Amino acid sequence: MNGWRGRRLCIDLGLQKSWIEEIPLNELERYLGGRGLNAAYFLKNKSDSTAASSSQTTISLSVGPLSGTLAPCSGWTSISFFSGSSAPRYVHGSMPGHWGPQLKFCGFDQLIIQGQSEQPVYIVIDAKDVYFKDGRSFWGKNVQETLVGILEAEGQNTEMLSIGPAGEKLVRFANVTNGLSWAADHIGLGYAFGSKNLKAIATRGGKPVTLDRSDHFLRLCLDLKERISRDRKSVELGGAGSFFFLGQNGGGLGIKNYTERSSIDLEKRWKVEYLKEYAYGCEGCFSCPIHCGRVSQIDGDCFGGAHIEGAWSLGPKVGIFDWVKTLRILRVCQLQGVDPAAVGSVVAWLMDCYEKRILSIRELGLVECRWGSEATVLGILERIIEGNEGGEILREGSLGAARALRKGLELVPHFCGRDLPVRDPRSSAEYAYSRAFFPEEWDYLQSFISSNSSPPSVPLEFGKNEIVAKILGLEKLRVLADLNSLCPLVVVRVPLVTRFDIENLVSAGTGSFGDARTLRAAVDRTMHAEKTLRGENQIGEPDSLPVRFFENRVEKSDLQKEMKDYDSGKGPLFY
Amino acid sequence: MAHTISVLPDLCTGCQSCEIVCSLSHDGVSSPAFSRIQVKKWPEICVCIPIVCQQCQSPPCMAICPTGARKRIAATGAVITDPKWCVGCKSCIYACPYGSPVIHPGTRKTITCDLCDGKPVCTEVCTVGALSYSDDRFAIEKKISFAQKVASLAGLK
Repeated sequence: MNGWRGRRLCIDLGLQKSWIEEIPLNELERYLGGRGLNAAYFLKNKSDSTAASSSQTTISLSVGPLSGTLAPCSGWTSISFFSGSSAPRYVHGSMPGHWGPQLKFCGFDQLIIQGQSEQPVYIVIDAKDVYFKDGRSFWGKNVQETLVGILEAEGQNTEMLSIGPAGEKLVRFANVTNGLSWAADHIGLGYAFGSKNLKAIATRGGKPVTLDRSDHFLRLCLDLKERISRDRKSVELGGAGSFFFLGQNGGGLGIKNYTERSSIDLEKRWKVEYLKEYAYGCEGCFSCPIHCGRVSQIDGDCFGGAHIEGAWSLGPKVGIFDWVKTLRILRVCQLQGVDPAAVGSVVAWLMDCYEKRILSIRELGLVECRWGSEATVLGILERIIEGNEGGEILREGSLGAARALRKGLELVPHFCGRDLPVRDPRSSAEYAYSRAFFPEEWDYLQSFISSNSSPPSVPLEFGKNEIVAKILGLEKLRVLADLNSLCPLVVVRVPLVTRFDIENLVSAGTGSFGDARTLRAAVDRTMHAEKTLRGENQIGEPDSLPVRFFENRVEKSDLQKEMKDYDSGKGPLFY
Repeated sequence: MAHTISVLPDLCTGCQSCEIVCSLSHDGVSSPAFSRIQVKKWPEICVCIPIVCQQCQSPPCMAICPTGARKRIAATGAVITDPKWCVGCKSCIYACPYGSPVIHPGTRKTITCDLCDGKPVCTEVCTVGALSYSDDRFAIEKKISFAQKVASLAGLK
């Protein structure tokens, strides 16, 4: 089999057993890989997968036919599972970095993790076998200590997924981190790992990925890499990382819990200060010609992983405009293995509640939650991770905490239980609608769909709305990128890799299935499967943005009607 | 002076494109294990170093090879392994000061950079300029500077 491996590795942590299943060619044709393989697996195994407790939930990590090859930006991994912590329960996230290709080099397209280990464990996967190793000595260690310790034990060029104390202590928005820089943010994967007593997964493979027409594939990749590296936007993206997006599209990132919005000038100043004073170097995902990852340096400490979402969430979103403070907090989040954007959301909500006198100092555990205080953010973060002095409530996220306290609910900017990305939904109609239709797409990619920053004064009819059609078109492109383990930023946002490039690469790599009709069908099939999985496992009614987000903008009732039509299948999802 | 692949490690982002293009162009498959250039990573100090044959003027690998399999090609100056004579004893691996030779997973014989007949494809895909094909074979000041930086980050001095 070329391109794919055609094999799925299944691991049962409770039984400490692993086994291999063949993935039939027709399943690969129907779903291609990555996100599609995840959805197909959960559709087949619904009854086993929807276990109520997080410790028993099944996690699927998959890659596509281009993963592990020279195809530009093919280092992403698709992760799906049933989360007990959000609605809808079926969650999907994409993780950049290097882990997915290593899974492929171990000989697999998909990894399924089931059950719960009795004691802390870490797994080593290589090209020959799976090893269950005692993880007790690493339990309690931060992400860097874990990484260094396991690399020393298993070999320097092993690719790692690991959790920090936040995941161990079951913080809902704990992360799993690949290396130290790349995380599957926003889906609470660290919580799921922690529930299973799974500290880390180390992969090291040496099996080659074979390709149908390797010479042709090589030429395609070289041409594409050259085209990308010469593109002006690619050069700018490589120069500034994800901070490249600042100062464009009329501004509009949320400040102080979205009570204010950024100007273009502010964003540009903030970006330039970082790049001039604190950016130390670049880091790249697997086979990426752009290298948009940034290494930061403060206090003699170098670390990767700084990106626009995390940094803004721990900066202006909580009223901090000092980069040193933001980077210090970001580093703590990274070491503890917690989603910086979710931490920013909780803190911003608390500070907003404090300012509006909705929560008193006594209710806040004698912490003065003033905007811009680094000490306050670090103090709250410690409580969240330790789960004490109110932290046991805050670790449920801003929405969970507001519901538990029955206060400040109207100040929680969320959609369907998900925190908002830093881009204010009121900054463009496209973004508002993309939030509404695809709340699970948590990244910032869709927040820059158009330069049109004017929200519509009159709601448009569903199905005749050009904006909605455009969003759906981009969403399909996003799914196509996920099916092939390609960077959604490069395929959807900028874009530098076209649908035709993907068709050519898949065709040359696999020898089949690269035609437009097959790829389109796989995208539609995956979206349909995910819709089924989300619909059948939804907890309660979907939420909506707080009322203040609709004032003088989009009418809340109209938006909800659009969503209802969409959910009932009336919309042009499968055109 | 012979041309070689000059490495500036502080520009390397660890994307591994060089490894994959090497294996693809030489073996028609995609795998770092089949590559003649190896990217070693130390994520805790944000350092990645591509290890590739530096085509020494007096190669210890040639001197130690018991079968004479290691030899220099006149056209490019590249020191390569003749698979016909290599017995896979790994002597060249131990002798190399850079740790460059690796065992090919298929043939079980050592492989090193052959400079792709004078057009090394790894330098084509390295868009950050960490790899270049030039006669600046030592770039000695840059390498010393980088070594000092790594030592500092690793807390060695």
